[in-house]
Amino acid sequence: MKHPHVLHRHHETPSQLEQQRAESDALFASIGEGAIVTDASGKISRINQAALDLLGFREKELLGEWFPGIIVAYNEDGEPLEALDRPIVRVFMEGKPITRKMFYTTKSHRQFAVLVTVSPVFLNGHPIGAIEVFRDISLEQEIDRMKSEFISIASHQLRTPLTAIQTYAHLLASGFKGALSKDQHEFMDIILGSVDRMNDIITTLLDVSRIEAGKLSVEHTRTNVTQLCKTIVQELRQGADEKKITMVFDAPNTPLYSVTDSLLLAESYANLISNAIKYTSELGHITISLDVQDEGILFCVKDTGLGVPKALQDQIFTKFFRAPNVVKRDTTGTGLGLYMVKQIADTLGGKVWFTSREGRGSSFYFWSPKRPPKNV
Amino acid sequence: MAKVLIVEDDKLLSQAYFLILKNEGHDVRVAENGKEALDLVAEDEPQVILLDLLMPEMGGLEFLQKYEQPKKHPKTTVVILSNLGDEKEIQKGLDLGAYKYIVKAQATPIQLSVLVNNLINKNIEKKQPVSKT
Repeated sequence: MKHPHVLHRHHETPSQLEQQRAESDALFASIGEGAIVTDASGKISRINQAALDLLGFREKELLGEWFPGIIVAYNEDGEPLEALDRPIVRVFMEGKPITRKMFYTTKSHRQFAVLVTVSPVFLNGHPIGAIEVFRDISLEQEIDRMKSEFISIASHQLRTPLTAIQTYAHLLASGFKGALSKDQHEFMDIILGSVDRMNDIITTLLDVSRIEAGKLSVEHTRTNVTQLCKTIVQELRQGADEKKITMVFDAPNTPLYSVTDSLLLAESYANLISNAIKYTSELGHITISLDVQDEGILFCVKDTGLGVPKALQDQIFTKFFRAPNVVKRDTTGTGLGLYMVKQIADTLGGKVWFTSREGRGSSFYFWSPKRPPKNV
Repeated sequence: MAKVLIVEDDKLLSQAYFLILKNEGHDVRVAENGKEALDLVAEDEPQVILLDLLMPEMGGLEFLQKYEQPKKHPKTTVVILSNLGDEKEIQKGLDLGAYKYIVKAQATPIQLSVLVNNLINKNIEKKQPVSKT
């Protein structure tokens, strides 16, 4: 007993234990966001006032109840979440914190959007339960919707004067008001090139706001994907030629068909190929291929470009994200291209992913089903 | 020379289209909306109508419904002047009898005048389905 005061800390008197318990209860009750603690079987063992206020229940109505049973949750498409998909259940399978957006239902059956983070609670290496913290994000969602609407209106409004600039610039460039000198032609080309770029940005912004508002119309038709890909490669070849990049389309021997939205598929392929061209240095190589895989078509574009820094790889499909190694080179991108591709992949029931090494290059894959899944 | 009617509420754009087509020697008239266009076509039948969709008072789709082309005006060809992002409206316009559409931001004045000249010079024997471009 060389350090009695240390030992003493493990042998609190009953009154000290009570005091500690009261303190921890007060701490838990004061958490400003909804907090619910469950045991290992998912039964609610503690719930704070914020959670009770948000859910409209009284404490005694929830204590001891199986969480997924008493608090009904829906996904972002409004479908009820199965117990197995609930973070409070999944967290025991995954053993690490889970964060997701979903909808909770109050006692009076009102739905509201929540952001939930659930963490498993371990004692001596064994899971003894979970703690969930959640907050009402209805306001954030409403602001996000207003932002999308604003972008959409602003883009529409920008387009009208831009079309006038473009039309009159074309008139001047075509010698409508007299022949231009070589220098004047060069300047006109710069003006028209910038107008084209701005049009592209507006198109992307409009696409993004439409996809976020769920207004993106999907039309499934039987599509010759090989031909579609060939056309895109032809259209984008000039950009590769200008940088002396070897671009090869490794077309399959027989045409591959798919029942899909050809416009959306074309937009995704074009986006991935033009990224490869944009971020590959002169004399680099780009290989594009199409294959049949798992009842779908796998598109791949492989480049010898900048690559994506490892630390940033999980952010690349996020809206407005641009990697610093890319921004240094090219300041014109919107950071919306890959976000769009990801949204399109989700819309078509497909997947997009990549492998990359910074400084060595990247391979981007876009898989889409041969037939649309039932819920798309 | 042919009679061309431009229906466009943006004055800067209609003026540009007017200049281009006038320069090609066409007889060009301008209406600011569908209502004005209906008045003008009642006076004088154009061979080509360049039709914007979103306009105050009467938009392009309502004009097409009232104009009843191709049933009542088989010799006139309507081309929709559209904006990016108007796919659904464009499709309705094509269903109502428009021959094709051009995206304003993607068509140069030269392309526009070539298109109008082609429509006038060539007989449009059969209406082909227009692909979405």
